[in-house]
Amino acid sequence: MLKAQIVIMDLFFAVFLFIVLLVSFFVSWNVYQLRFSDALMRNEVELYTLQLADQLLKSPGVPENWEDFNSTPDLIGLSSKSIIISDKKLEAFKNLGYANIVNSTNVGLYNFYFLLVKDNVSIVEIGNYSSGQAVNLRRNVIYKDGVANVEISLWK
Amino acid sequence: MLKYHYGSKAVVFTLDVLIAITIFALVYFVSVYYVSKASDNGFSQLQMTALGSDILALLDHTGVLGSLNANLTYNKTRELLPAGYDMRITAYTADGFSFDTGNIQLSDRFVGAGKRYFAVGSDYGEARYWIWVKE
Repeated sequence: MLKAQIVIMDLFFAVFLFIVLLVSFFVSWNVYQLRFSDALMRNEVELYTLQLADQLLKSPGVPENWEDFNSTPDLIGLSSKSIIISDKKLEAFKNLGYANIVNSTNVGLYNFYFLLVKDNVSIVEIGNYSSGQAVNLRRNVIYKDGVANVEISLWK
Repeated sequence: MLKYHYGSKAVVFTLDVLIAITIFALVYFVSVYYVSKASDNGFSQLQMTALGSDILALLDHTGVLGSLNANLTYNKTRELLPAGYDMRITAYTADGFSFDTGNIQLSDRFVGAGKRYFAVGSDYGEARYWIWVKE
């Protein structure tokens, strides 16, 4: 084989390899970009869920006695003391309705689900549970002098 | 090597591309590995740490921590812990009393930790917790 032919073959092979590399790079780049934006969005929802759980279960809300007024509070909180759920606040929370809760908790972009269970009995359930891409958080609280579980879910 | 295959004829372009592919693939896979590793498990670790914090708060509010009773703290912790988790709690008071619920921590996995101050009569104590997924 002539040297010139080898060089041309070499060039073609190199160009072919380069094109294969370029195509595989763009395909995998797109796949990872999608995965990365999904992961980013999920991280954001996870962060919101954690913040929301802390807000609801560890703070009394703003104003502190918001349950005594008929208006929507600036910030909803359900605890009289960290993780001790106030029955009065819980009742007011239930009466606020889904739309007011979503507005007051600043989770308008997401769907919201709240469930308080004590001794396997559902005490308060707000929203409709999604079994799909929801971020679920389960926390232990004290309700009526006993241990209860709160489940909070957010999803797009 | 080139001489072995082609005598004096070169394969410069192919060699060049192969070297470029190797370097590129190395950088690409290392970056993909670290990006995917960074986004792994963050939420479950935070959730586990929050679970530990909730349990310590429950023990405090129900007076278990204030009793300074290691056995009671251990038993109550086991009642509250979901299956699949393990937790160690240590506490000491300002006047030098201390206890340890005494499970050994594992070094090969994530361990969530935190601390809480609690009231013991007119004094105070400091409790620490470590929580991890069981083997």
